[in-house]
Amino acid sequence: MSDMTPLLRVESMSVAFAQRKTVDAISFGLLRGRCLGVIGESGAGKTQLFLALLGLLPPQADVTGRAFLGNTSLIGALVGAGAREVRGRRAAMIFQDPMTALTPHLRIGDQVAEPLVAHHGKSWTEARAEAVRLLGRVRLTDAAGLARRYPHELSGGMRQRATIAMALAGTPELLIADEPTTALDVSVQTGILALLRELVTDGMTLAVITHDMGVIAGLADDVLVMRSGKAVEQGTVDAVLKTPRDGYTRALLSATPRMDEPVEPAPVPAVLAESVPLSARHVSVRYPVPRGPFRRAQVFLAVDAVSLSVAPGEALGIVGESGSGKSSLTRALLRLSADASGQIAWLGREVHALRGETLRALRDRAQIVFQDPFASLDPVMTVAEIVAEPLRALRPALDAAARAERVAQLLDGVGLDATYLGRRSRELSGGQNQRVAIARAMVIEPQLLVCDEAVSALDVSVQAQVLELLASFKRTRGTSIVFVSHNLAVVRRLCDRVLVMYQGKVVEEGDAAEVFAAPRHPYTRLLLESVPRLDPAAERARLAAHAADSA
Amino acid sequence: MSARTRIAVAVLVTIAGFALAAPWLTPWAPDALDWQHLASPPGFDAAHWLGTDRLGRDLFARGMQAIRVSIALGVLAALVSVIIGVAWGATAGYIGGRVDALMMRFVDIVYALPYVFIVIILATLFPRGSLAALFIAIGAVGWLTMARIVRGQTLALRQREFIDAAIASGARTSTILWRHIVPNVIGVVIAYATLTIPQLILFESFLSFLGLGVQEPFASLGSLINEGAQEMESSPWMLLVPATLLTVLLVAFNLLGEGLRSARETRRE
Repeated sequence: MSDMTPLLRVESMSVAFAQRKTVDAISFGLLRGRCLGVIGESGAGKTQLFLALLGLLPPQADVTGRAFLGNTSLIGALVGAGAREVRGRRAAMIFQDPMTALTPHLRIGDQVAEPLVAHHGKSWTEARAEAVRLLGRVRLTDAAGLARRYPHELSGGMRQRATIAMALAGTPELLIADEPTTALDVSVQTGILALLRELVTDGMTLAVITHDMGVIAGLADDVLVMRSGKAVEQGTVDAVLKTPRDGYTRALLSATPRMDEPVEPAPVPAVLAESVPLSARHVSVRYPVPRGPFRRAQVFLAVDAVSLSVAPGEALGIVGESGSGKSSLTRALLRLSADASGQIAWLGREVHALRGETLRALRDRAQIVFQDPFASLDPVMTVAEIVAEPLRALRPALDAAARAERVAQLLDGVGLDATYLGRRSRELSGGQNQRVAIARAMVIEPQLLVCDEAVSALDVSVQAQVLELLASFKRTRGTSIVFVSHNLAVVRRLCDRVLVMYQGKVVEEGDAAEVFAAPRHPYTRLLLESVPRLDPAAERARLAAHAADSA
Repeated sequence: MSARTRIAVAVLVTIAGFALAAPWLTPWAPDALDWQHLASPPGFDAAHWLGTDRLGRDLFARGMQAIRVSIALGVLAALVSVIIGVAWGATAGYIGGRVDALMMRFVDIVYALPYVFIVIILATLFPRGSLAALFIAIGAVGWLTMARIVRGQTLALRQREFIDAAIASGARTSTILWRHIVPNVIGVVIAYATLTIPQLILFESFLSFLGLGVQEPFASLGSLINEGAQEMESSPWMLLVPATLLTVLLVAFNLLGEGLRSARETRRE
């Protein structure tokens, strides 16, 4: 399949913004019919590299070096008609969020057909027929019916398939996929990965940009590991994943939670609360769904009669995909939403019927850490003010000096020294911000800490540190943790017990080791099978089996 | 800061400096009558730089005094509208529900009233030419838009996770409003308030032009324009001097407000 001149050849390419290099002397070659995986954490410059190759960076970017697609030089030459010739026709890109790539008011089929009319001079009738064929090619069932639908009528996975169909419409030689599955649920991710791998097998040349080693294992033939703009390691997927030479690659691999790593039994916490930190019975959350001004709102049942309890010093994992109701449940458990019914008790005290001042005074029993640390910290407040807030509200007896001492102590405990006290969240990285959020939650020493996807927005190396931090609170203070996540490998690392949610209901519950070893419910099994393995051969076989199933 | 904003600041500082220093720059008091120079045109060599009106009053002295009145009224009324508007809008937006509906319908109703009526009614209640009446009239109109803007911002802020985080931290509603909502809307508020000042100055000038505002012997830019308009065929400078001052002042304030607004938006990116 592959001849020996690379389709894409990049020689010591650099990108700089105002003297600051975001891509630093990268060289690689990508042979036809192969997949190159570019992996790195946020800020590694991996997306910038490919935007620069397609000439999509703003004009103030300083791009140097040489790059060729076939015989066409890509640097400095991509303007006007030449640029359009390369973009879309010879190289196409798919992005992380499929919704932003689709125009909301146009039918899917027409969006796929449009480039065929524009670039290939086809009539609309021909182009629409071709669009239906392409939608079938990306394994969408009932392609003809789907072509007449609008983007909002499709699920996330179907939308991503549609954007792949759009990219394929120009019959590109090179397909670039930037985090193609990051916004999708794991069970949907498998399908997209299987499709992309199938395209490569059929001769497409693919460059995939990702932060996820699992995606690399399944898709890539060759791997380029990037860190702060530099290539730290290059090689075949087997070489990089099995015998990594660079220290950073090794760190990345060991930080990635995996389903086959051994879990040491959790040590028994030093101190334990006397009563149950959290118990909930028949908690339901209903949302009204408006159906226009003259019809009564429909009621959507987001959480359906969930009962749970968390023992002192225990970490309970709540697992589920988007729409499973896990976020609605956590908000209800913390009395942050008004749409919940059922009974909830914090440390034995029933709180579901409380309001106002009585409820407020009990809030030192249960604290929360949210997913996005930038959104959950007030942008105008300093770190010291943020961490002091619960003390100010719930420990009014403490004077300013005592409060400052507690704040400094807590920040030190999460690994941030006194120089951070006066900073604001925008001056901090995602991981540092999440530590601040954890410090805020822990400063009044709650018996219960609820983490709603608290490590999902973080890079794997930071993720590992935050998980260790949470485990240490559990170990040393006996804090009970409710850990909500879609990532099973992460839950497996931290939790003693696990609860699987599907469409608002708990479908399986039990000891973490048992559930992961022998899942009983088919949905749990599906979730477990969907987690990418870090073994390229096994992962490749899994994707091939999936492709064969859906073909 | 962009060049335009810097020019606007320089112009405003110059105008304010002249207005404050006017008593020492000219021998004439704003209400002093100079019988030798009735309705004399402006000129560098003339006794009166910007000319006099038909009673022989120095137009520079009167113009500067008018600017003091206009800026003071504009800034004070903007401040009042900020205080009422922020408190009203943030409370309505944060508490939401029925309270929000009630508070905002009140705003709608006051909006719907023709404000000239309010002013005329107030003018009958207060002694003629009372600055207090003028102030209340301007304030009553100024805060409405501010309340709407702040409410909109608050509705967006309330959805943000850091508000949930504050609730979970045990913060009181008053604390959340004061420590989270207000500091986060203050940027928009300052930018908008700077744009409100020229509107209020213009409004005051309009009322004074109608004879409902500042009264003799005080002058405001509006009343000067009113007087000048009556003589504009025989002595056009009586209209041109206050009209030019008003225009420069309004353009400078608008440029400053616009500059603050765009500075805020670029910073957010």
